[in-house]
Amino acid sequence: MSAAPIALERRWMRARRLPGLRGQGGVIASVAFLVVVTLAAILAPEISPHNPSAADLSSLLSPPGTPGHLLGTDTAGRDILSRIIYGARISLLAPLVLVVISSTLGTAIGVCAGWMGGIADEVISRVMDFLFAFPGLLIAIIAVALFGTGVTAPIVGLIIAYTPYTARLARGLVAQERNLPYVESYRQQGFSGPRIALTMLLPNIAPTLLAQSALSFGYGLIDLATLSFLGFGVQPPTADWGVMVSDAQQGILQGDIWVALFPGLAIMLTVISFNVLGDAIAERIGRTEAA
Amino acid sequence: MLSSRSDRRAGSISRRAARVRRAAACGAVAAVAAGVAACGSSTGSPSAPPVNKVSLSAQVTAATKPVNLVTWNLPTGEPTSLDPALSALENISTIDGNLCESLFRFGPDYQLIPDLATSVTQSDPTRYVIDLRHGVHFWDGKVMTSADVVYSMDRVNDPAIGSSWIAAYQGVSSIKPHGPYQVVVTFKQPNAEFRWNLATPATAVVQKAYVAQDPKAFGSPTRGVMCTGPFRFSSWKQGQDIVIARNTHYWDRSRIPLARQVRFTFDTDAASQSAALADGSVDGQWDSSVATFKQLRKSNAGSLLYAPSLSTTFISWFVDHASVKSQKIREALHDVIPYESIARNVYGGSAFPVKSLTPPHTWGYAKSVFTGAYSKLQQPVQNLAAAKKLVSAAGRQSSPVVLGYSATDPEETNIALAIQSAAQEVGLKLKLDALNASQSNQVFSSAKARAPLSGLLATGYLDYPDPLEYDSYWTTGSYYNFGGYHDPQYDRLVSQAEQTVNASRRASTLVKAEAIYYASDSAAPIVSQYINVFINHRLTGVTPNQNFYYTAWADKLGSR
Amino acid sequence: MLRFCARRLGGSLVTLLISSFLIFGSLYLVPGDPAVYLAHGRVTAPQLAALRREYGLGQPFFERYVHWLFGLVHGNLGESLQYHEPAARLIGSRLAVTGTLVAYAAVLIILGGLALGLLGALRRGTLVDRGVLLFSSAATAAPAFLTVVLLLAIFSVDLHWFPALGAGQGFGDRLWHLTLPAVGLALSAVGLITRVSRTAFLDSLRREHVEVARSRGLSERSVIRRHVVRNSLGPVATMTGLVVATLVVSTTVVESAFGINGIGSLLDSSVQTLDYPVIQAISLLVVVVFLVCNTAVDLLYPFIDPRVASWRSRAA
Repeated sequence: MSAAPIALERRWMRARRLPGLRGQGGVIASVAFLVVVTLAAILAPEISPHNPSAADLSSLLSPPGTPGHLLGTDTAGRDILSRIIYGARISLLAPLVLVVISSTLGTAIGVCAGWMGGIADEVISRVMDFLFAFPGLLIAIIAVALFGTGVTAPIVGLIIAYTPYTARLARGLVAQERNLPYVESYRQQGFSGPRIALTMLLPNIAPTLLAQSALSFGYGLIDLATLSFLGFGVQPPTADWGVMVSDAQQGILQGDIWVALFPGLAIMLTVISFNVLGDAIAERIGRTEAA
Repeated sequence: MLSSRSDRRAGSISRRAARVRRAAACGAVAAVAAGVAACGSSTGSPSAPPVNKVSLSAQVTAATKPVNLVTWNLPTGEPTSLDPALSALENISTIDGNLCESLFRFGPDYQLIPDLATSVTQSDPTRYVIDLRHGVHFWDGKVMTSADVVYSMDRVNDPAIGSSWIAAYQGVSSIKPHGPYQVVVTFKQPNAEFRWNLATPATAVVQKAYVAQDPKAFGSPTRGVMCTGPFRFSSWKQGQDIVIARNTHYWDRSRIPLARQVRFTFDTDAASQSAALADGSVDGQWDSSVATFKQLRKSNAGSLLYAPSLSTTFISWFVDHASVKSQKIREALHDVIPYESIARNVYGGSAFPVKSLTPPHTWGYAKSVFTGAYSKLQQPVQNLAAAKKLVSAAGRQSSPVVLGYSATDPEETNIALAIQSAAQEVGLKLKLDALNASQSNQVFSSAKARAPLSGLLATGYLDYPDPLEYDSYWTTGSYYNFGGYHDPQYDRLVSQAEQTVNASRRASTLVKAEAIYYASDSAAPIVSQYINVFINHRLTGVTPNQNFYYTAWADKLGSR
Repeated sequence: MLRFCARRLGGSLVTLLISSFLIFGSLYLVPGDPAVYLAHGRVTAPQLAALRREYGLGQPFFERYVHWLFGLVHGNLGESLQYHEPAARLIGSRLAVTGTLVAYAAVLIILGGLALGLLGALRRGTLVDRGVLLFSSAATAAPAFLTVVLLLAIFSVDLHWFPALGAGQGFGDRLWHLTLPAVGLALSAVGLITRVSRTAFLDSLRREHVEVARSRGLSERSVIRRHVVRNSLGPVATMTGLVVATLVVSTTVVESAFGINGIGSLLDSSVQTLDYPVIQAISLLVVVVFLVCNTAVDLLYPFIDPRVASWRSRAA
């Protein structure tokens, strides 16, 4: 899916919400899930039942519920639960880096364009429009061809792909906000342009950008896992959810679907949680604005 | 050794890996093996290993009835060309063996059987006089003459073609026609291996006139190839299939194929391969990956047949790398490898532990000499206690051992992971470096790519049953000596063997060299995997044998 | 309208030109030596030198770019290092199957997304609606590689309902073969379009003219068809336009799993072997697909949604 959905401008963000899950319950469950996953990632050495790379050739593909292996073992006899726990580290860290950098960069670019207007805006918008012509996955794959496999190239590629979405969103918000009376009044009070942009305007648009970032995180997680699955991203034997699904293909052949299912569920639940979270933030903004 | 298949040289190993995740799996391995011991009965061999779960198929029922269309899958994917000069990749060789013939072909025991040549004589060790068969026609009706043969050999020997068979002509001084039906090949010094290459793509004959018409397009989907084999090139729909049709004018009337057409598909995904084989939409496939065995064995659509191969899975240590400079560490590493468990669990019983890189089936001559030497080598077993002692005796590791392996090969991945786990247990610091297809290719060709590695886990196979092929790789200065092994006495012995035409004297020299090599713990032979073939019950005639890379096999396919 | 078309065309050409420069330029910088891959890493130094000459790998950048661009204009996309074949032919022969696959997926996305979205909107707040939303959330979060792996395991390997291999021959057989891959490719976009269309439908349902139409005694069915669906198609069309170019890249995941030799698996193997000319050609192809889809959506927009006379010019 890549980043396409993020292309939507603000009005589309409404469409992307998850009304079915947006109740308090959904949000609480999502936050709780993300907290658990994050803690698991941080505390992996403490809580994981096995060494994630300990391969036991005598117990290949043990089914879930095998004593000592709650979620079973994979094709190399490694404990799946431990690998999911350790895998959370790189699987969450990589999209985090991606989102932090692309959102920061995108916001900076978008605010500049929206605030300055004129030729600067025109040029920046053209460049961003141009970048939309490349699906994120393609840029990432080209980056892999350039810099080689590993987690860095895909992140760099996806930063290039994701930044324009935030930039466009930020630009739209700023352009809108800029003409509001409060900005004008600050101006008349003698505040400088950059100061207004940074201290008054940015906080106003930050929640929307944050909502966008939460959604981007989900898509980033999927895109990065896809690249790892293809063998372009995180390299085995490092535990990573995408790599785990890729490794699992051997097991599936032998009728053992769970080997792919558990890391796959980890990806899906994390993405859903981020989507719910993003929607909840966007929702709040909507309500505040309506009020 | 290293190389897998055909290209005898190094690359092959990696090539197999080249295709995405699945594909190659076992395939690569095997290649040549069948050879020596005859594919059939490995039972005769004194050191024949016990078979765990797999039973070997010596003989299959010969086909008697014709069949219209056979669909065969290439697990390594779509060939990049059908040019036999480039036939160093499984997917090319599997087809090309049926299309383009060499001067000789390999029999089931790798005996050399006259094919496009009727005889070869060596008036002296450096001169091969090859008499060509009369009355051989290319598919378009043109007669094959010495001009085509010389042209084909020159082509392989032309660096711009990029053939990995070029090594067959190392030290050649001239290739000359002598009348329309004789070719004389002269070397500067004796080249004992050239004899084997008379049956490999190094001497596959293509039509000079056809190539010359459009040299760059030769072997491409549009032009195909022009050869003499029992099948002719029929069509190549890119991304879909390659179809070959039987050559009804084939010179050997007794070997005209029963199959009218064979259609090759390019599925590299093991899951879809096993589903397609099980539902009969694909009739057969060489080298199915271990992960598919379970599905394929329980399938009642066909049977999965195995036979010993010329392949070995091994680790080559880069002996000059600081982490493995100490022989104690290398010994400890060898004690850590769970040989039995790898054969049984990783390969599902379709492999057996080996003591050297050239196990029993690779002895195409002087078997008693090789047998005697092999029995003196130590049977490798995992011994963690011994490893622990060696590790503490070796002192502090200056840097961790970094083992490279091909991430695209699921079995090698499992072996690497198991070795890492065991190393951890004995306090040996070992890191893994998963190489993708192009990275593992580079390990063979570039010192820079090797620099971070202490060693490489690889599977390679001999192209023909002559241990010399591997032994010569480890000589100083050999292009394929990527491990950096160097020992002057070893070099001397191997070069002596290379120039020894007498088989048992050559073997005696080789085993002396090998004894030096293995005593240095520079390589860890692990297992040899069987070659396998899956074939639908409606068909028969294919015996699992690694010589299918270079010798026609589809001609024997037919209905029961 | 004509001017609008001309502007779009000009903009697209400029985008293409810049893309070609960037794509060519970035891949020119690659550190590896293509000749090594060309030769599968099994060759000697003189062989490498010969190959480099053969493929003009030693010439300066600008010369190679201009040469390449010139070829491009004449339909020559360069020669594959891996296959020793013109890249245009490699791609051309694989275009049909990938095109069918992407079109199939796009149809599933549009029909599936609209149907589910409409269902959810009409049954708003019911269990059905909740089911639709739950499905759409899960589908959106399901990576294609996971879907594909599971579909293959369940429907091909286990149940044997669908073929696991290849693209089939003839129209019917091909659709049959491509069903699972297309579902795998489409699923997460179906989830997305479901949500977009559900919201759009809800918006339209609330609009005055729908009420007016209803009060004029039009049957519910024709109100929905003429007013609700029609007015909601705009956003769905925009989203679909964005998604299709992405689908072409996503076939990388799907095709190799199903043994389909199309553009996606070609891209995959080209990256693995650093077959630059092919990577370049496919990248350009994706850009072209993107531009075509978006221009098409923009041009169609006034027809789909009568409220919009002309559309903003997006994406150059």
